[in-house]
Amino acid sequence: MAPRLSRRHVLIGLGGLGAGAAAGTSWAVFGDPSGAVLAFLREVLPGVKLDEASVQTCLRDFTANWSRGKKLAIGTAWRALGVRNTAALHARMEKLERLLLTFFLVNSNFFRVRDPRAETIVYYSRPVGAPCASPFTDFSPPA
Amino acid sequence: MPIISSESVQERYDLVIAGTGFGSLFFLHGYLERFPQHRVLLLEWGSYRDQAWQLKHRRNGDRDAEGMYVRQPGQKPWAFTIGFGGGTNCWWAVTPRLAPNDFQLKSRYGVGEDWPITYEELEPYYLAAERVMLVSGPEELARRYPRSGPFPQPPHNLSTADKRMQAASPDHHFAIPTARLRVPVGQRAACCNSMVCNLCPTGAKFSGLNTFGGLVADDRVDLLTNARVRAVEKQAGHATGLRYDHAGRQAVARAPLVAVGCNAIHTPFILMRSGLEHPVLGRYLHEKSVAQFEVLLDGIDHFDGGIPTTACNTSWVDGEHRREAGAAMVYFINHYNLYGLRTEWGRWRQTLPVEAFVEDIPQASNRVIDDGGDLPVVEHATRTRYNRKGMQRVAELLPELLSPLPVERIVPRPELPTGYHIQGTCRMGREPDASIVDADLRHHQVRNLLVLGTAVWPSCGTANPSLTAAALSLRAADRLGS
Repeated sequence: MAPRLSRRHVLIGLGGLGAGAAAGTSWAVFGDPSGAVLAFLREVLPGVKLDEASVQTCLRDFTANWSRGKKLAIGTAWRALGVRNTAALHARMEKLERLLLTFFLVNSNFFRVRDPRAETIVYYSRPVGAPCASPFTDFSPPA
Repeated sequence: MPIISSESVQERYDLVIAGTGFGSLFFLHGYLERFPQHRVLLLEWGSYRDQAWQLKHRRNGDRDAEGMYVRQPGQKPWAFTIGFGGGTNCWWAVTPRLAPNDFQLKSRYGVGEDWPITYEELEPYYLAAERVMLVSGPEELARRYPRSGPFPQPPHNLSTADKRMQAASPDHHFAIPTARLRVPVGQRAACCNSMVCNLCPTGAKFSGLNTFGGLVADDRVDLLTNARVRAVEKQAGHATGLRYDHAGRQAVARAPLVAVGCNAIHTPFILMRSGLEHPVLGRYLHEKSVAQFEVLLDGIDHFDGGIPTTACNTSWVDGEHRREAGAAMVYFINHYNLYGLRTEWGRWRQTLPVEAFVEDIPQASNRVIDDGGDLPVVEHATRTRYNRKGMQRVAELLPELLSPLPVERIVPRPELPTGYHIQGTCRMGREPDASIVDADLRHHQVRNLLVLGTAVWPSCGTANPSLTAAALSLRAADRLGS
């Protein structure tokens, strides 16, 4: 079945393709965006040692409910432009960047270790929508 | 599954109800308490999908709302769930009451309409509905919404930002009342802040399934699913039953008492198809606007409250400003799925999402139409100037409201396309010429026909409507025969 592409996805994908073609990187269309995601995480988490294999798993889980069209469009833009540059294009892409970072951080040991720069940060594979996911919630009993 | 086959539908029931959402299930509950020997038939357009199915498929029912009404091009969408339990499945379990002056908007502020009942008359039924749902909330809320009894459950934990707000504004900033358990009861666990409340994986949230499942499985109740009610059958000015389609066939379920408790789009459509034309039937469709903001904090971390929406601020829920601009309830959101964490190192949690539910004045031109097709047509071309002024007021005054917090910047976010609260179209009132049902939810002309649910709202208010729908249904059941 052909992927369903919304107008927004087409525009984002075309933007990514255009930028990629301009840079002579036609490989971008067919590659894996996990490299772009890893580069993004390294940029916003400087000095943090990331478990690369689990970043791939994170990306898989994060996009698990995306349509093929959305995966193609966003993946292309991320590969061609990078996650951060894509975010600069539109508020929705900026939100996606933040949600991606959030998904990785809250479903990893990042907030659970004393110093995230002292230990390898590993994403724990977790079914999307699993209960009790927030590491910040105050569950102290009623007075 | 407590579902009968069409062959098992009895010749006659004491009560037949269309729809199985808040209005219908709470009426069923109240009715069987008053008439424990009676037999009831529930007709539900959708399927019976249990919690396991909903979790597996990550949705509340089989059908998308968008395919179940006709929306005019460019106009706002409407959201509802078709299936057993209706909105009790998809809701996020926020249960404020309407404010006392919401019931007397016209007489107090000269705009909109008064309700034909007062807050004081409805209050005992609010309490009864809260006890059924096991609502959690703070007793201090009685300063704004007087109460005759305590909340069934203690409040959930506030966030750090909420605590600061509450310290500065103890009469207006409260832990949110919510039908998410604070303390486990039976099979329902305490809320664990899953942030996917429409699918509540722990059963902490009240739903028709987890609270009324047993009642519906009772011998006195028959549930026929995938049965689309088409019209109220009538004879000599009395309702005699409901005509419905099931598996390609049409049939009539008969009872001396008939109730239509679908959503505010399909209920008026059924009444129109029943020959119950009335100048206001289908009109005054409305819902609140939802303004969204992201508050970037400077130095305090957020998301440390106990549930996804931790607090409500009532500063703008009532007051003289309502003569000119819509009232607003401000909600403090405690989940990071709206905008995510921040990307700056160490400032991940210094962001606070805020939503304001802003009142609108129902307009006759916003309506549900029967154009002869299979589905109701919805026309909702405009919001009122009153609503827009309310939205503007929120944006202008929000910095002052948030002054107890170290705010770096307030970022306006897009207004939600829908508030998920469809109201109006079968408004209640004292005058038969200007309303469809009376204060007891009984149709002015067909006295053994009741309209249940949020279709009966004559004015908007700022509260999420589910608790009020439940309370009105309990009251309607209590008032039968009076």
